[in-house]
Formats: sequence, C-alpha cells, structure tokens
Amino acid sequence: MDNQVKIGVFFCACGHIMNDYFDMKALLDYAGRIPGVTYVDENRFLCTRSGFDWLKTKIANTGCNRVIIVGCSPHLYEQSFMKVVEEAGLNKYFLSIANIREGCAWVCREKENLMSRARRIIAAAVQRVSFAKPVEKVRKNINRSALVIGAGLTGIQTALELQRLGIKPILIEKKTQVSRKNPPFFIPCIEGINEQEMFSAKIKELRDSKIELLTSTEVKEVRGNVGSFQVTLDTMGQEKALEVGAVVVSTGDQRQAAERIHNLPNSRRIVSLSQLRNMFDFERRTLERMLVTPDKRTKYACFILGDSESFTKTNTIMALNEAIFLKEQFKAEIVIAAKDITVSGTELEPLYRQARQKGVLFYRYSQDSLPEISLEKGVIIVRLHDPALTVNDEEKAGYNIAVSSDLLILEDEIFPHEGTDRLKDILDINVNQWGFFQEKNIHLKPNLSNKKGIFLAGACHGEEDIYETLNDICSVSMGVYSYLSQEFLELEKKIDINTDKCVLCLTCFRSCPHRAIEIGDVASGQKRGAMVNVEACQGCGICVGECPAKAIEMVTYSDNQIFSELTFEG
Amino acid sequence: MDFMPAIVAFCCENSAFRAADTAGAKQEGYPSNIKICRLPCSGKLEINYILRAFEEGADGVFIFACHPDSCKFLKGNVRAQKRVEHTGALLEKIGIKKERLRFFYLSELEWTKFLDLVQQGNESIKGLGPCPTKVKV
Ligand SMILES: Cc1cc2nc3c(=O)[nH]c(=O)nc-3n(C[C@H](O)[C@H](O)[C@H](O)COP(=O)(O)OP(=O)(O)OC[C@H]3O[C@@H](n4cnc5c(N)ncnc54)[C@H](O)[C@@H]3O)c2cc1C
Ligand code: SF4
Ligand code: SF4
Repeated sequence: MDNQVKIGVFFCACGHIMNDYFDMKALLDYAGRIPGVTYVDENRFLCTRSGFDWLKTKIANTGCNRVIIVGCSPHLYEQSFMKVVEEAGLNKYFLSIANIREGCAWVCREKENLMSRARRIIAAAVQRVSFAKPVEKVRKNINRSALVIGAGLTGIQTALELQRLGIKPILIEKKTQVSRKNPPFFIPCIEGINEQEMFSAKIKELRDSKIELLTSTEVKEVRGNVGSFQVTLDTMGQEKALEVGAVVVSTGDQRQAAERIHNLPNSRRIVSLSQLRNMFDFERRTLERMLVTPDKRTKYACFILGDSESFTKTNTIMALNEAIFLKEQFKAEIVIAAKDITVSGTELEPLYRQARQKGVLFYRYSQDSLPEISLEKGVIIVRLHDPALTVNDEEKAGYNIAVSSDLLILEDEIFPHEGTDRLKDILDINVNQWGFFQEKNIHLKPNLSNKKGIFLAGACHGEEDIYETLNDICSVSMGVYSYLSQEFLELEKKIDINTDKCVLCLTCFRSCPHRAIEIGDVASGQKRGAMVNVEACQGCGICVGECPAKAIEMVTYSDNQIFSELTFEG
Repeated sequence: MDFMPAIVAFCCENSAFRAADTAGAKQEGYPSNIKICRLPCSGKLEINYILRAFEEGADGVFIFACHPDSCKFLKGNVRAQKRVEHTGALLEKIGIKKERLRFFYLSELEWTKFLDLVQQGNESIKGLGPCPTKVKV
C-alpha cells in the first residue's frame, strides 16, 4: 500500500471575491511549493453541487489522500466537504479547511499583511492535514425502546408521543397509581380547558394505548450507554431487568409551604399557595367561613410574593389564578403585594391584566422594607411600604399601608422531587446547585443531560409552567426519536489512550464530565488501565489536557496538529 | 516601524471561534497579527500549547473560553482557567510576564466584544514589548 501523503490543495474563488483580495495565482504557486502537496487547483464555486462533484472527481483522478480547501470558514461547509471527502473514499478527517475569507481577507485592514497571513494559514492547514490520522468508526446496534421515569403529565404524554413515533415506551411510577398531581394546577388563560378533565383524558388515553406501565416501581440500577442501557427495576422488592435504548427522566418537582410560614404566628388563616389550592377542592366550607360572613364587612385576602428566596414563575401563575378565583367565588377584596410581578411566561401578561380588570389590588414593596406580618386580636395585619405612594420625604421610611387580612397567602418553596439525589447517582448524571437535574447546556441543549441518551423533561430540571412542559415533551420525544430511529449508531473513536503510558492515576476518570472513562483490564488482560467508552465520549478533549502521563490523544486534534498552527514564519 | 507583536488566540470552537468568524464576516477588521487556533473546547488547552507558542516566538497568548456555567462540556472552561493560572506562574519563573497570557470569557454572539478584547489585548502586548525569550523570528 502506498503510505505516502499526497496533499491536494483546492482553492475556491468564491465567485470573484478572493481575487479582489489576493493574488490567487501567487497563492496557488505558493501552495504548490509546500512539501507534501502534490496537486493544486482552483474552482469558482466549490460549495455548489457541481463544485462538490468537481472536487470528488479531482480527488479520485489525482490520487490525493489528503484534502485542503482554501476558502471560507469551516463553520459554513466543513460538514459538507467532509461528506464529499468521505464519498471520495477517504477518511473524513483527512480534510482541513484554510479559512482565508473570514479569517484573513475580511480581517486584515493592512493590505500588505494580507498575503503573508493567507500563506501562513495555508501552510498551517497543510501541516495539520499531514498529521491527520484516520478516525475509526464503531457501529452499535440500537434497542428501540425507552424508559420513562415518572408518570406525571410529562411522563404520560412523552410515552404517548414515543409510541406514536414507533418507539416502545416503558413507563414507571413510584406511587401506587397514576393519579393527578395533588394539588392540581390551573392552566393560565386557556379558556375551556379543565385541568382535571385533561389529566383524566390522558390517563384514559394511556390505558387504551397498551403502554407498559409499572407502578410502585423505582429504578435500581442503570448501566450501559445510549442505544443499550441495561436497567434493573424494583417493584416492591421484586426485581426486573430490561434493556432500553434511551431514558427519559420526568420526575417532576415538589412544593412545600415556605419555611417562613412556620416562623409566623400559628394561625389557620395563614396558608401557602398550594395549601390554598387544596382548600378549593377539599375545604371550601372553611374558606367560605373565612371570607363570606353574614356581617357584611368587606373581607380581605392578601398574597405576599417575592419576599422569600423561592419566588418563582409558577408561584406567580398560581397567585394570579387563585386571586381571580377568590375574587369570583367569594367576592372578597384581594391584595397582591409583590416586590416585582414577573409575567415573563406564555399567556401570563393577559392573566395579569385579567386580574387587574377584576379589581385585584397590586402593591409593590421595596427590597429594603419587606412586609411585616403580625397577629393582633386574631386579625392578621400586613404592613407594607409602597414607594409609589410616598408623597414627601418624611414618608419615605416606615410602612404606609396596612391591610387587615382575613386570609394571608404566602409562596411555596419548590424542590426537586424527593429521591432525585439517589436517582442522579443511579443514572450517573449531574444536578445543579438547587438539586435539580443539570441540563447539558441550558441555552442550546436544555433537554439533554450530561450523558448521551438520557433526556430531561418537565419540572425535574427546574420548575416549569405547563407551556414549557409541553415544549419539553415535544423536544424530548424528537430527541429520543432521532437517536433510536437510526438503523445503528455510528460512533467515532476520537480519543485514543496509550495503555503503555497510563499509570492508572484516575485523573481522567475524575475529570471527564461525561463519565466516559472506564477503568478495567487493558492490553489483553495484562494490565489495568483507563479506557474510553466511545458511546459516552463526546470528544471534548478535557481528559487529554488533564492526563499527567500524556497517555491520551485526541485523534482529531493531536498535539502536532495544534503545533502546526503555532508557527510564525512565512 | 511599529513593533507588531505575534499573538496566538486559542478559541473554543463553540464560542470564540464562531465569534471571530462573525467578526470576520462583518468585515470590521482586527489586528492581523493575531492567529486564531481552534480547539474543540477550551478544556482541551494544554499547558504545553501555551509554552510552545512562546517558544515559537509569540509575544502574547490569549485564551477564549465560554462563560462560566455555559461550557458545552460542563467544566472545560473551569479546567482551562485553572491551567492558565498555573501556566502564568510557570511563565513568571522563566522570566515571561504573566500579563502576556490573558484569559477571557466570551460567548458565540459577542463578536463585538471579541473585537474589543483583541484590540485592547494587542495594545497591551505592544506596551509590553517583544517577549524576552524570543529566539525564533
Ligand atoms: C400546585 C401546583 C400548581 C401549579 N399550577 C400551575 C399553573 O397554574 N399553570 C402552569 O402552567 N403550571 C402550573 N404548575 C406547574 C406544572 O404542574 C408543571 O409544569 C407540571 O406539573 C410538570 O409535570 P411533571 O410531569 O414534570 O411532574 P409531576 O407532575 O410532578 O410528575 C412527576 C411524577 O414522577 C413520579 N416520580 C418522582 N420520582 C420518581 C422516581 N424516582 N421513580 C419513579 N417515579 C417518580 C412522581 O411520583 C410523579 O408522579 C403547578 C405545579 C404545582 C405543583
Ligand atoms: S489520566 Fe492518563 S495516566 Fe491517569 S488514568 Fe487516565 S489515562 Fe491513565
Ligand atoms: S474527550 Fe471528553 S467526554 Fe471523551 S473521555 Fe475525554 S473528557 Fe470524557
């Protein structure tokens, strides 16, 4: 076999743009003189269909085994060129892009530096590609089923969607039965939707769908990686083993009356948002007694929002909904005292307007004078300072409003579902500082965990309103589908560990953010050492930078390749 | 002629490399003596890359990482920052001012900030003069 490196350098004129900046002929000549380069050519538009075809034939006819494209930024067409190179029978990493457009032509203000910068970029690309090593591909079979943990609204709907997409869902729930969340939620401003009906309909749909549902079941152990996770389930002491291709976590959140309530004078008239929600269903008489009495005196209910750490969006949704409900049902006077009303969710602004129209009173208090709550002769007095109501300077300090309330409602605290910390260890994924599951990237990949094939949906990765939950369900179903609908998983082995050099210090094991390093027998059982799990590895190169023995190499960014870029000659 | 420092900017391909690209595409121009070196993640930055750059004749090395908590690979930026701090101390020992090594956080969208940073960085390296250890070039 001919092992000689033959580099083909292909220039793209990008129409005529490059000629406006560079002396293309000189650049072509220069490239042709670099050792290792066997062929140089130019095309007017490489990024067109005909350009790709041209490139493919050129590679084949000239016998090049490394390819350099001199043109625009790799972000634009690197993937496409890789495909072309692959179609031409080469490893797709035998390609390097010399970006002389965004990286040179449009950068240099000084015309005299243009050519030298371009030459350096091309020379670096040539060096880089001459060090390129082929990246091995590994194929893996896929199990086309998914485990959905937690049968709340999110879990149920995700399971239904997955079944529709042809993936077999297995739904597990730790409670003895799938019941609607207690207390149930309102859905802001979707007229005519009754939450209870919605949930019952979902449960019925679930029953009709013949989806495998295991109640009183928790996950005991999960091993393996995307495509095939080996899961052990525990149903009241009884174990069951199965294999799935992906895991969806939809374990939700939990609400609790905020700490603050417990520090207040003990009164049945002080409740939390979710306690009040419960009272609508089960203690309506009590509410009636508090808010509707024969003595014709106007009754007041006061909500305080934003005075604890746990002020959140769902708290706002609930407060607004409950305020409207109290107003309509009991004709009470409602006061909402808030540091700030945050209406950044879908349909929240109209909900806020609706509350105002119905006559709910909003007061603002400032950061430095939090509301004071006291119990005087059985009546709750809330004192506030609303900066908008101060007329002169003397009034700036102290409270300027007092509301004697018959009912006081404080916010809920929101926690991850009980058992989340256990589940995180079982699944080997991360949680954030509040204990919720950590997204891979909160902006770009909000539904992926740090482990490939484990998805996060619903309130388990931070409180969510119903709209966000529905979004999650769609994107997670599509995410699972995009993995599991493939014929097989094709993985690239980008990380190579030299077992001779490995001293088993475990640095890589500890620093890999994706838990892709495994320790085991290497060199056919002669020695123990670190190994990369190709399915879990995401190719970040962190382990490479950390290994003190320099035993790890990233095939696509080897040291020599990086060094190629670091010369200043030319 | 003015002293033109040789500078290498190690850019994470998820953020600063793209920002540099956009800055290029906007045709605003930035100092052409700054070399962009692409990394898959700032966490891939190794100490010897920085040392090698100085060895090859760089007068300054910039490292661009994603903002805290925004690393695509969770912790790459933190690792990079630690390594840069460590390397700074090493450089001081061999007589290279650690100000020649600069670490910045940048997101993909902050191309204007990229321009400002490389401009300012370039000026400050110019102020420091040629690197004393420069053998090549
Ligand atoms: C009181 C309240 C009121 C709300 N009001 C509104 C509102 O008015 N408008 C709005 O838009 N949003 C509202 N929300 C938010 C809305 O409820 C959430 O977006 C939605 O419920 C999230 O559903 P989920 O399926 O993620 O979680 P959940 O409904 O909590 O479901 C999680 C399920 O997982 C199970 N589980 C947990 N851990 C495990 C485990 N380890 N193994 C197996 N099973 C497990 C639990 O038992 C539970 O059944 C409210 C939430 C609450 C709590
Ligand atoms: S960091 Fe390097 S030497 Fe240490 S266990 Fe990993 S591969 Fe082996
Ligand atoms: S490249 Fe990144 S994901 Fe892969 S093994 Fe190394 S540290 Fe882990």
